[in-house]
Amino acid sequence: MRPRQVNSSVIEAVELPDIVALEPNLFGVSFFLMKLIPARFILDRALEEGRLAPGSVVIETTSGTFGLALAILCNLRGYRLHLVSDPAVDPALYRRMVDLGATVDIVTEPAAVGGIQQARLDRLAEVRAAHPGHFWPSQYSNVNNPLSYSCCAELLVEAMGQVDCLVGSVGSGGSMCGTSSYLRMLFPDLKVVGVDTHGSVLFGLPDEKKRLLRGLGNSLMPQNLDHTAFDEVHWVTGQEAFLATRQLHRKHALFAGPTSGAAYMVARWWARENPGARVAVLFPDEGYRYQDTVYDDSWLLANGASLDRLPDEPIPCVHPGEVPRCWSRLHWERRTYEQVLGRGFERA
Amino acid sequence: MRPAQYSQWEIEAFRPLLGLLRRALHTQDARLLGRVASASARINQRHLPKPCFERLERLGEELGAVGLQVAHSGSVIGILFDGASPDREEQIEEARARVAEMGFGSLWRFTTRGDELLPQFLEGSVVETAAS
Repeated sequence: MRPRQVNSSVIEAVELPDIVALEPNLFGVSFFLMKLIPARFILDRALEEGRLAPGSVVIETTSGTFGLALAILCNLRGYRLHLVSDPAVDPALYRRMVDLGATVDIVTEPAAVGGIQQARLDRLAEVRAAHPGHFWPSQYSNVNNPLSYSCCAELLVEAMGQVDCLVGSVGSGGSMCGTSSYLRMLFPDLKVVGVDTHGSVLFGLPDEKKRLLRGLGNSLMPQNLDHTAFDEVHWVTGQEAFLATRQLHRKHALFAGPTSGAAYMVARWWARENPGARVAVLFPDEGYRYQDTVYDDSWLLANGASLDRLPDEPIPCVHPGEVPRCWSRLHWERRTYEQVLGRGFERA
Repeated sequence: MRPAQYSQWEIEAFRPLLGLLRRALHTQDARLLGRVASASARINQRHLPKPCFERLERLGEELGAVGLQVAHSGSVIGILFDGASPDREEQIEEARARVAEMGFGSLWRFTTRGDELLPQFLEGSVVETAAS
């Protein structure tokens, strides 16, 4: 046993996940805020390279928890943070980031070509041009994002020993591609199961700007997504993810966000199909941010997001072109995007 | 000999190696220990490659070894067996015979017993150590 210690900051206190046994062969990897891991690692490397100093300006575009992680770190380390975001950022998250000292720049007008995503990128370019010497973490293309998950893999194998399958949602590709690269070094037969949602382009579905399920999936293809890491890909709807999130709470008192629910639904099924395998599933954030949505029955009803029961199993598909609008599964088999789709894509 | 220039990924990869090593020691699990040794050996193959590595790796798998260990700064390579395995002696005897055919300079057998490390001379006369 190591002696108990005082943490030097809240980062150290909450950065690493807790691992909770959910079923005999299913282990939940529960994060307070998973994005603290890449955010801290990226800022640490930049500091080592002399690209950051107290008072430095950090600029990023995000509407999710990577912004919150950066806001926490920049607050504690004395950097000025400028976030370019869109109306998808909810008021509670906005207030929290502003309270931590971040400037949160909400882009509301879509660009003539490329919509709100392009408008965000245009605004990002303006802000960057106005701050010479700034640092741009760029979570979608920074190789330090996937690299940062060595601490997560270390904790997983130390706590679990043998790991046969890793399940998790995919947004930037950082957590799943990074963690699995380290786990496969030790367990080359590891199965990697990615969870995406309808309307996300990550694994070949057509883009839809209005996705009910946020925090996973993407409208642009991030450089950090290595498609060849994945043995299986599942697509989960918002309705299914929300109900699964509530089930995770009702059955295990695990209070997590909807990306966790989506991953839980897939991992629970996978673990039951493979009773001899030890399955780890990533739960990226806590439920507080979703109390007025996913955890509110009247909100679910009013938004057409209410569901009575979950499918028993996913619909098997052999090509992304035939994925129906419900929980679906494709044997990706560690192929490239081009090998599966028969065509390429444009990187973000 | 130039020190290994590890990539950023490899440097980070030593963290999970240490994590599983702690687990293996804590639970006295030779199989997991073998996973750590083999992974470390495979990283080293990119820097100071051992010429017989793939052949020994296949041999180990065939004979039910738990893993391979290599010197990261020399020419020693070893096949690890679970000391608690009931087939241990046959596995090791078969490995000894097959490895001898590959033309190694010398062959040693080490057995752990508690915290003792007991070398047992098998064949040849000189133990090859650090090559440079």
